[in-house]
Amino acid sequence: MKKLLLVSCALWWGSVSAQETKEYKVKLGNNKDRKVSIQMDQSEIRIEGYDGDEVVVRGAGFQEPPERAKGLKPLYSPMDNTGIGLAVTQEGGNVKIEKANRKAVSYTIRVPRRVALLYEQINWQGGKIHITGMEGDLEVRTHNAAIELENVTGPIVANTTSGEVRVAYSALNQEKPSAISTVNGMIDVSLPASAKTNLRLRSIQGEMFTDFDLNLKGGRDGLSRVGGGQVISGTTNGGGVDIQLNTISSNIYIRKQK
Amino acid sequence: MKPDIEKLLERYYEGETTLEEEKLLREFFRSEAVPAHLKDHAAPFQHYTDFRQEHPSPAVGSRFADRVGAESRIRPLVRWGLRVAAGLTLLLLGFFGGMLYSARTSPAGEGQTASAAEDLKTVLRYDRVMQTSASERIQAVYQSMELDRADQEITLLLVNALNSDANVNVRLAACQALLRFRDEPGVREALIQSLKVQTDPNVQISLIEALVVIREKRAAREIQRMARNEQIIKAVRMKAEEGLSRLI
Repeated sequence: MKKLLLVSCALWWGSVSAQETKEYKVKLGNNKDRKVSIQMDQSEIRIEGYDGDEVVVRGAGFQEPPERAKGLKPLYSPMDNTGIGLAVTQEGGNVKIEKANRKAVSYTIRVPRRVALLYEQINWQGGKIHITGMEGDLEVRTHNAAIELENVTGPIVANTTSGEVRVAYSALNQEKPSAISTVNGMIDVSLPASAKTNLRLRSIQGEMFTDFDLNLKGGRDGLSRVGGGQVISGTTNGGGVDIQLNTISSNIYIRKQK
Repeated sequence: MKPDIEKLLERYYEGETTLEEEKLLREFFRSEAVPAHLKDHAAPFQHYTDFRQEHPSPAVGSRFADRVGAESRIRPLVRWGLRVAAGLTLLLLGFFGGMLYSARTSPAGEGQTASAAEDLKTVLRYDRVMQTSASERIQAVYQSMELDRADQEITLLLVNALNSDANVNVRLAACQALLRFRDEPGVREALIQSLKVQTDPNVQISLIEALVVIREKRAAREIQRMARNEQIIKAVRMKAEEGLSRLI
């Protein structure tokens, strides 16, 4: 009896861990001309930049489709060709990753650091996108998923309808502009204290807070009292790359990195 | 003989005398036997006669001869090779002078702006959307704002970006750029039409503001429709009302 229990435990543990550590790799190359497009829903996604040249995807919580579906093709999702519930295709040196199941699965994707990334949340079913350690061109579009970018250099182009956006730049790429727009999600951007930017900010109904000296013209504290809602243009450290932040009803926070 | 002379004289003053008749007159007046009443008329004939005999004084003659022989200041280009070289030099001088002049009068960066315009046209072309990132397209739109004028191709690309770019931030940037080129043909109409297709609140608000800034009264009807449309979020509807009050 004990033996049976032990064996079944081991088997169960083995199968679960096998699922969890199941990996899918595809070769890409670590340069900025390469692009990874990801379309997800419902899932918590972690994307980590690293110094390799492969895209490595790991999924946790994925369940195979039922036995009944053997030999049949799914209609809502693309065909799973990775064994972890994703459809990964390669088009001309670029990699496209689509969710090939309708469950809530957490994926961790390791991507070469300098590659460009496009992430889209394709429906309104929750999830969160967390990206760290990337130096490439990042474009993130969600409906209501929170966007969190850490240790990135940009450029960042992000938009969401009701998710929150948090960006922490480690350094600021001066070559290409960044832009973040939300309708109902707060924007919190943290820049190195010496970052040179041209800022263009607007919140229709919210407030804006910063500890940078934005070198604004006119009025006490640089803000003339017009009633809010207008565009505020300022610069940090003499001006540099363009960063545009827009929101309708939320606050914008721009802080110096400590 | 005398009456002939008088007759001849008359004809002479009329200018009707032949050469032989003039000769006769000259001979007559040269002779000593000139009657008193004709003496007044003698002068011209004698004068002319004398005149024919006159020669320049020797001094004048030698001076003249010296002048003609001496070298003039303007050296004549006798040899043909020299002439060709001179012609070529003039041509080259004229050419370079023209280049200098046109280089000074035209703006220095003209060559640069032309190529910048071509670059951004390439980035914004609709069929390149898959290869460009949103940030690159935004950068191209910002670059277009640095041009003095936008030709029709650029305004079309900007309008296309405003209406159908997949990324909201690119559409926002395109709205700002088109505001700058408000006087180019077709831009105002495009802004008004774009009101009907935009769904993102940030872009809707930017568009309404742009139309108010350029005082485009033709947009009033569409803005009013938006102010009444329950499907549009409240913040945009309020902006539409505010815009309307400032337009009309």
